[in-house]
Amino acid sequence: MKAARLSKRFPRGFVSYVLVLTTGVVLTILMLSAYKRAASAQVVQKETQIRVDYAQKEEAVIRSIINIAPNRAIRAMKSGANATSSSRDPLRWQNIFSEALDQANARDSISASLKSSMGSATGITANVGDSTLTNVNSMFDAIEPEPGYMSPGVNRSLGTGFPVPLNTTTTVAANDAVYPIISYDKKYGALAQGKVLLSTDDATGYTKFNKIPYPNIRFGYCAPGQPFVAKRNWWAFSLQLGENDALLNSFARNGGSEGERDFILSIYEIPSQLAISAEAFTSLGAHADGTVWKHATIEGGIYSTRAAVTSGMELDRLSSRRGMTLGSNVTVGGKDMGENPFKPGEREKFELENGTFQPVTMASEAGRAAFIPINRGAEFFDRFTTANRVTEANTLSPTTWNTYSSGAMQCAMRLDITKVASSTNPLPTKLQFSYTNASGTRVPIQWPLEFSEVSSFMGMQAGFAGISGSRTFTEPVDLVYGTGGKWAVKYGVTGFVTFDDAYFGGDPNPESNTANLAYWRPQSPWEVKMLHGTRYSIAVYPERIQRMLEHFGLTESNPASPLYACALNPSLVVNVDYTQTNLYPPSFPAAANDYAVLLYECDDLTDFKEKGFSLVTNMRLYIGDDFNVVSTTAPTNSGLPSPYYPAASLFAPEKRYGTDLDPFEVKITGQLGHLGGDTGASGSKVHLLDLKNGSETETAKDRINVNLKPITHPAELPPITMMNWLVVVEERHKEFYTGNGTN
Amino acid sequence: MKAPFVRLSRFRRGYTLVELSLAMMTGMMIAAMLLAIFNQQVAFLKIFSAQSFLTSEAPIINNYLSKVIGSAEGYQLYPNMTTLQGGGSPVLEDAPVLLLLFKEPDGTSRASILSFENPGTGDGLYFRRVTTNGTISDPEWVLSKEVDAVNFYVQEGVLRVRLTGPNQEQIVYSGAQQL
Repeated sequence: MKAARLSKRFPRGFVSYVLVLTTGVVLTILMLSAYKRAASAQVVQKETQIRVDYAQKEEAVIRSIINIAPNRAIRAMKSGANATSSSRDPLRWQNIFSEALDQANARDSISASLKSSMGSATGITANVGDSTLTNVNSMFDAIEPEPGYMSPGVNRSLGTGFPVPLNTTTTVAANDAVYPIISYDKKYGALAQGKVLLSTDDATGYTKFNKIPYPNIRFGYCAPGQPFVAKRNWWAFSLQLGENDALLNSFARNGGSEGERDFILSIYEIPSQLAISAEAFTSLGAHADGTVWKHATIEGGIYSTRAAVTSGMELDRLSSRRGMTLGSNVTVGGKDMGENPFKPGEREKFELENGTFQPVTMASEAGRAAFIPINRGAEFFDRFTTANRVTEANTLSPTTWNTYSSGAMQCAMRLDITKVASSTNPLPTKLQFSYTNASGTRVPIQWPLEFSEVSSFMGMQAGFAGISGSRTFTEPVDLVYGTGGKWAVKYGVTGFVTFDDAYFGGDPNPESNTANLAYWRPQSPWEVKMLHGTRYSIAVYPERIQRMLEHFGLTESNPASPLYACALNPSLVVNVDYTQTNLYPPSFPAAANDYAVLLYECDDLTDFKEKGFSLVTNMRLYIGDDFNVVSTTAPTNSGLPSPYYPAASLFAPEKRYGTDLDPFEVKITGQLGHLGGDTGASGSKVHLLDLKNGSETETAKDRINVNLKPITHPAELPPITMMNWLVVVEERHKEFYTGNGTN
Repeated sequence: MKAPFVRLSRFRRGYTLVELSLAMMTGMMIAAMLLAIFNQQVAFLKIFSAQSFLTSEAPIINNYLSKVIGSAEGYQLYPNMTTLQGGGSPVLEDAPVLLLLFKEPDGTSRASILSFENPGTGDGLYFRRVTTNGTISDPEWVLSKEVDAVNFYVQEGVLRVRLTGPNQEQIVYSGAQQL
């Protein structure tokens, strides 16, 4: 038997080795390949996830900045903002950014307590971008190469793609880089000349507000791109959350600046300019009894906190903050909006089909925008509220909050009831008047109404100046004659007057050996009158104001000059100084014995042509004459067409049309507003065209004729307006400013 | 003669049937298992290969789309580039062309286009730019050439994009503007 010969070249089991090893190698290669692909997919998922997470966090942070910045801007205007570091530091941009990170839950997407309350205390958070995000200065930067956190849009251009800068003082500019500053000192100036629609020349231009395009946002106070009257405060910053941890190399490219996105935070200051601007729940199109508006023409947009639109109304544009209900067949911008234009998909469908945003909008529909009416409520009318009486100091903004937000505080002229006859007799016996002189200083003047306690009229008391001999008065004057507190008074005198006992009906103080003195003043622009036999009222005569101010020494005769008396003093607030004995704040609605303001001799406001006229009062306002119905030439350099009616506004908690007699018809041209606020779902509606006569009867609905239209030019703005802020964050897309993108 | 006999008895003795059966069965089982493992690995590779669009390409496309759509102030959908270039009407669905509108903070407007098309360089999702004078540039770069079809559409107000991969696998992403 021949034994098998064993190979000397290959040991026994060689084939097995080869097979096992080959199989192992092949399988290993396959496994490695699979592993590599899985790992690669995981890397893609991981990086995508972190980028998406950062992108979403950045979006939430941007929205939080929109919430926080206006609040801090307001605080920077408030008294004490700059008093201590603890009051000042929260207003700094870096703290605003840090707070935005918190508010956006960017550091901790789901808190432990929230997870616990959801029953997932041990759950793993999938937000891979969660981090302490401590290095705020690495995530938020001013625009390169500027240092700090924020590049304010003042005093220099930041380059193409950035908005038009404002001009301001170096102090405000320095503060603006550290805090959000809103101030009258930030103006359109030389840097904006030719870049906004109207001249920004310091002397003749429109520096406070100008015409600028409305931003391209869904909230449509105006149409996107439409020129509107506003001032745009803005700040630019770069943001990249990923730079804090630099989890991906791309987050740290070029020192981190490569992946930064440039944003512009804007706070538009928008004086109310729409046909209807109501900070209230407003019924549009119908009176309270359900009858529809008969003679109402509304041009342009309407803003209301909440709105209920009557069936069949035709509006150009409607915006709200809290919601709206539309009746059937309501057309807005010429299109039938259906009953719910905010149904999912409707908005996008409209935008796709029309290439623009819907003319029906709510602020909540715009993620990167907030609309904030600056509504102080009753404090808008009243200088003597606790808040308005505070002497504001140590503010970061040179413009203080009360001055900015309260119409009463802004008025150039002030007239207060400061004294009454007694605790049981509310007859006003003394007023306090003040006006603004040519150097901008407030000049107070005692204005006694009862002269028995007046021993002398020195210091222009009640507006009286000494006179002697004789004079011919071509316009009505008031005269006082006497001595020792005993005075003969003649009101509304014209013609030749000799200041002697004979003219005044004898010696007013025969017991005195002192020579009688004579005083005169132009016919007073205000006086006390009794209305309906029960209500003491302050009657105001705007047409007499210019003469009185000239009498006080504001003698500039050129109406176009900023030193013209009515240009220096275009607004008047009439208040009750209830800090004085026996005086009380007016009620709302006015009580039977509350004071009122009566408006007479107000049809011709052409003295106020350049700056307009505003009256603010916390009392019920009775309009006793035609108001502002005399046209004149438009303000210098405005380019507005004729006929031009001086810009005018009346602010009062209540208005009545007519005083002793009710008007046959009420015609209103211009804008209507309401400051009542929206009290929520259960609140009642405001009916703007439900008017009341002086006799407290309702104005006949078929005799109400309104023609409402928007303000489209700064020259049409009255001196006192309601203010709104529109806060917007927009991205400046870098790709359009480098390389091919510039073409 | 004893020693060789012993060797032969130790090493040349045949296997019993049971032993041989066991050995063969074990060998066959091992071979089968090896084959199964091999097949499994190949299957894994095929799956990974088939899903590579969904797992690797699509997320990157989505990442870009969500970023760029999120920063746009508006968009319009078109059935093709010809319709867009000819000023045709936008559509709400089945749109391979997405026109993105950007409003810059200085008030100017810009636009760009993402279009699934074949401009002569093969099917792909291409980026075009609308120049400052309103003309549409040639495709500047391609976002993906692996994608087999791209359909933009709006559903209940939400912009969605359906990406179809080379193996007809589909994934839908949704996004919205952040303005």
